Amino acid sequence: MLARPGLPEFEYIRAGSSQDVFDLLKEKGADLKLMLGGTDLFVQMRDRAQGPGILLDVKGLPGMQEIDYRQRSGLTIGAAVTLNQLSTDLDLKEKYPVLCQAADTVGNYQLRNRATLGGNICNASPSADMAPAALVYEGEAVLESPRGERSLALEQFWLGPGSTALEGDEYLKAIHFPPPPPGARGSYLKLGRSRMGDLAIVGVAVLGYPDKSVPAGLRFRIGLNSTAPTPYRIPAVEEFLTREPLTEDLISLAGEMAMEISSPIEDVRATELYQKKMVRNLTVKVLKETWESLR
Amino acid sequence: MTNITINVNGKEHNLDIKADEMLADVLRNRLGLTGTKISCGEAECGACTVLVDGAPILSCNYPAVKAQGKLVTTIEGLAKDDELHPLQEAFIKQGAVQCGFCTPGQIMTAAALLNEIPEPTDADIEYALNDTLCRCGTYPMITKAIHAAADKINRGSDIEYPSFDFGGGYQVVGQVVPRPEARQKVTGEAIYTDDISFPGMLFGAALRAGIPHGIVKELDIHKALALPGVQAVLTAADIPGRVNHGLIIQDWPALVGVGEKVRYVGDAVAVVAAETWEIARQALELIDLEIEPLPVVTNAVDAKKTDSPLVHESGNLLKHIKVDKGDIKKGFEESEVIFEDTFFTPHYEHAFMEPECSIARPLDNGKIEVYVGSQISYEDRSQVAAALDVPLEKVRVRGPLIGGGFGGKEDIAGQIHAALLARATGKPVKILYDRHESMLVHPKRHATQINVKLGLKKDGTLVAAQTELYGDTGAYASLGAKVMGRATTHSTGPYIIPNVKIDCYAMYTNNPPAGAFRGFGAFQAAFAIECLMDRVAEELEIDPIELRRKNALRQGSITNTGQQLRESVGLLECIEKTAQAVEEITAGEDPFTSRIVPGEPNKRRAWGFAVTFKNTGLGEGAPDNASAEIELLEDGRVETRISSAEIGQGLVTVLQMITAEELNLPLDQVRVYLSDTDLTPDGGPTTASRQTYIAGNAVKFAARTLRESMLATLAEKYNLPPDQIGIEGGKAQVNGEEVSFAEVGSLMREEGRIPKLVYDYKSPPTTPLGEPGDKHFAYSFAAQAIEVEVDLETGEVRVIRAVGATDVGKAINPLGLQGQAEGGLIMGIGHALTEEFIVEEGQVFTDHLSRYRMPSIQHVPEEIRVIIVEDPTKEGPYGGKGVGEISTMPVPPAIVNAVHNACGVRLNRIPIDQDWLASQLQAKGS
Ligand SMILES: Cc1cc2nc3c(=O)[nH]c(=O)nc-3n(C[C@H](O)[C@H](O)[C@H](O)COP(=O)(O)OP(=O)(O)OC[C@H]3O[C@@H](n4cnc5c(N)ncnc54)[C@H](O)[C@@H]3O)c2cc1C
Ligand code: FES
Ligand code: FES
Repeated sequence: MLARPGLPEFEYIRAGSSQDVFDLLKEKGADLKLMLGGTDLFVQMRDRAQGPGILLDVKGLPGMQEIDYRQRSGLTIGAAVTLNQLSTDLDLKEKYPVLCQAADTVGNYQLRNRATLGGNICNASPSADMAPAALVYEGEAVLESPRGERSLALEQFWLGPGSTALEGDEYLKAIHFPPPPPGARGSYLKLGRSRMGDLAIVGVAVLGYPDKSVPAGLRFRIGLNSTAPTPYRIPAVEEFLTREPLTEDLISLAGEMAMEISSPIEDVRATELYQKKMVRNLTVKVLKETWESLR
Repeated sequence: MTNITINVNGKEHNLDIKADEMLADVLRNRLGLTGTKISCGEAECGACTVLVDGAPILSCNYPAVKAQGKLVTTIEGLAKDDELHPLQEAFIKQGAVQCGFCTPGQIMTAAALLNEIPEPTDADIEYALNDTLCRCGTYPMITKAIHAAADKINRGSDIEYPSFDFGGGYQVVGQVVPRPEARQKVTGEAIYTDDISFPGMLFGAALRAGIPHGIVKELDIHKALALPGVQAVLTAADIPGRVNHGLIIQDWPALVGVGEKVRYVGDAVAVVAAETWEIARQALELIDLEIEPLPVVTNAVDAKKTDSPLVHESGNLLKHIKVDKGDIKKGFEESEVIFEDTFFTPHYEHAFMEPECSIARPLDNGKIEVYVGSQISYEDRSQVAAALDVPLEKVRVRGPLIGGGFGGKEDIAGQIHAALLARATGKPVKILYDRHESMLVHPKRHATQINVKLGLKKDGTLVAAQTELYGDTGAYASLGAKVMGRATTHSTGPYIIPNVKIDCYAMYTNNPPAGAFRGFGAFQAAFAIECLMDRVAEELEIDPIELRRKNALRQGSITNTGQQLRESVGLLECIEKTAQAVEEITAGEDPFTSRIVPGEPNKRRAWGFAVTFKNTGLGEGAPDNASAEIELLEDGRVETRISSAEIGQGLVTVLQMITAEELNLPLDQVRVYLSDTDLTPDGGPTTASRQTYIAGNAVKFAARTLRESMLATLAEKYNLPPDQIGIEGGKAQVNGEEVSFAEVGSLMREEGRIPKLVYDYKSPPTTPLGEPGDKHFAYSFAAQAIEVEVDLETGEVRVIRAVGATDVGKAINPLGLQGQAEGGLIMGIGHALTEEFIVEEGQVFTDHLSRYRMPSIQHVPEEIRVIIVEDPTKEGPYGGKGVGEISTMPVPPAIVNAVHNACGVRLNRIPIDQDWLASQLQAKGS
């Protein structure tokens, strides 16, 4: 056994335009990995003897590091925007606070200077911390290929652990979020092995907002991670919560439903049963908090 | 190769580098800026933090090509023209530097924080430094240092030294002084082993078994040897001398040969030296290794069963240790109540921030020089010499600074391999472990199962105690027998108990070896006895503090090993002072009753309590000696030399202080030179909290002897009785005239007296278990109270406050003591809540830092009170005894007891599993 796997050798190329990306993807596809902050890539590569021969840094492509907010069309975050940029952006703090809050829970401060939203999304890790928040703001992955641009709802973008709907000739350019519903409130709660910092055992994001068209007068979006092959929303529970005026009992029931729907895999970090119960507890807790902040 | 231009600390560099070179490697290897440290290489620890265009990044995972055209600031670039940055100054003065390995990363992260937030709050600091890890647990002092630096930057306030309500009493001893090596540590000039390199140096690496138990069937190195750039590939057959190493029992093969057995995954089968790391690594991959697996035994209890696979041919029992006092049968008969339970502690990883590194260099005169950050230089010398089959004088072991040890740097790591490769190639060879190899290979803390049975009177008086201990010493003996010996004698706590019977089994298994680790068996023992004592208190409805007070060892008591404690037993005072402090904080409320946290209906808080004791020194009949050399140099300064290790605990400071005290010298006139087997006499192992006492005494007497001979010279020359000659401030006062130390030195030399001498200090004798007499010449004592908060829904536990008192005899170096006390507490919190070294069927699961969570700044309690009790021991230097280990020991039981008080669930094992706790809470609730 090699105790010191080390980094496999690779070539580093900086892409200057999307055409560069398309050309290289076509030419070297199998031996190439796209890279943003590289925080995840390098750690993964160190653990394997083999790695991609080429790292193609796409951080410098036009628009990749921009945060663009428009009242009508919403928010577009370039794939290369770092998590520290996100969590300190004042516009974002006001309009998409759950994203900022989630960003602060990723890794450590130094890491967040390089870790990007795009990387977090493309990792397709079931425990990605940005995912639940991105889900409740109904994020879409903006993908570009020689065939043009397309947008894909995140639920469709993630296919399984480490697997996405990206085609071989495509890359992620940005994440787009429609304007949040008026009056929306919410938060992200992450449970780790200890107080913070570790990978999530369970993470729950909730966004609630007034909606007169339903009996409850309110609507909630609930996004979860770490407890299924991909991050996910729970539409059945969301729908259940619209049916009648909200009570604590209904919220408890919603928690039970969420627990039923979740399908965590047991690992050394936590047993399946514990994770399920935590889905319930955290869902109830964030729902209650959000409900209170809406009142 | 890619060409880049980067500006590092104001200087442009144009470099041809490979794309896969990380910035940390380029800084360290190409630019010689070794202040930036690599500790984990996996973006987990923050040690490698540098600023790129002002933003802190982890340079171990930042490709240098990305720094093209950017401004890089490293720790070396922080001081301007010799004037320290306020952060550097504050880190020195506030004691925020211990082993110093994390310090550059801490300071660079803090520098970025202050640029962004000039006046940070505690929360801002916690946010920014989250996961910039310090295994020495210096976080509270780091936080204070950052505030002090901010004050200086924003308002020009002077940075002061902290003051303490302990210590004092002498000119130098007991005063607050900075570490002599702190300046190097905050500027990046400090040299650890990996910071050294030599022209033509090769890089060595070992092939590990990867299988926990098996027989090496095939080992073919031909392809590896043929790889260009490879200069040597060695197997067991190439070891000229003794194949096995080991501190007490030599049962650990440096390399396992064909036909021999591997006994754990980290066993080495071949070593390679090559021109680069990459080639060495490739060469390892070219070695054909086939191991026929054997069944494994993975815990101490199974290992004792008759049908267990045998780890060693001689059997799995390393040692059966027994203690008998009084009549155990009668004791239980006389008891009115009996309590019994079994407790479990896991393996723990030292996770010192500096991974192991050794460099061996053949010299022209036929000697081999080994550079290694080791806790026992002389032992390394004999083990390397034995492996090479050369006389001791042919090996010189030199100790650079050490980035933490905690007991994990006592055994051989790469020393022998490096020496073998250096001998084979005739070139210097460096072997550096990465974090993964470090975690896999070096000995851990013993996992234990401890059964405790206590018999008491209904009023809480202890009458009988019987314990049975199993310790998992892993594949090789290391210090296992000693560690479990200490577990044995500490397993009935610091209590007066007339009838005692203890059986302890130190067992071999196919897990990584277990050896020394802060607390040395006594840690595990403290957990078991203190948890059960708490249960006794509850069921007998006696206040937990009162129960301890009632049974506590005091002056005149007889320990379980039959030793009468004649002096320096500060346990009762520790208990009183801790109780008082808790009472102050809780304003009279019962600290042990659960309270609901206001506004948090699902959270409960309560305090827990535990006491403990820990021997100073090796004891139990082992000779415990140290020799120190002292010399009055020509320029009038004094140099003290001893082979003892500075592993962050502050030994250099202590020895400097003692020398200065005895010779009435200003501190800066004393230089301390450590760990060089050619130039410094043997100070013995840096273990068992012994160095302040033993090395301290050796240096004290050496300095006294030097002083006497200086006085004698002057007395002769000036024809005065020696007692009419004064010595102060580096000068002698004779007849109203001042004679500088330099002059005294030259006077001595003129007379043919060399102002240099060696003092051999022998500690008071001790006796082995089972024989009458003292088992140890001193004990330290401690009481600890901890307040926790339990989240009833998630099972999460958080430490809110910690109040503890420790009897250290005498606080010789208060600033260092505070650091050790706080750091020990934080390590104890880690052991109780976040750390567990997991081995599954002999395979190490926790082989990355990301899987082994050591406490970060976020685990620091909101309030820490360190109370120091100074009940001097006659023979100790100025009354001092050991402190290095005891601060960790009472923490886990205090936390577990607090958790019970808060939520009603008793735990028998650490670390506390939030999952399990939540399920218990649920079961209780429904
Ligand atoms: C110590 C440590 C702690 C961590 N803690 C957390 C945590 O708490 N929570 C959490 O969620 N994550 C955590 N991570 C994971 C990771 O750092 C984050 O997910 C981060 O946001 C990834 O961003 P990046 O820019 O570094 O991605 P990169 O490493 O650059 O890329 C990640 C993946 O995306 C692919 N990719 C990159 N760019 C594109 C593109 N434009 N189009 C398509 N594919 C692309 C890459 O090929 C790669 O597979 C941690 C990582 C480390 C090393
Ligand atoms: S984070 Fe770079 S060495 Fe640990
Ligand atoms: S001083 Fe921080 S790790 Fe030792």
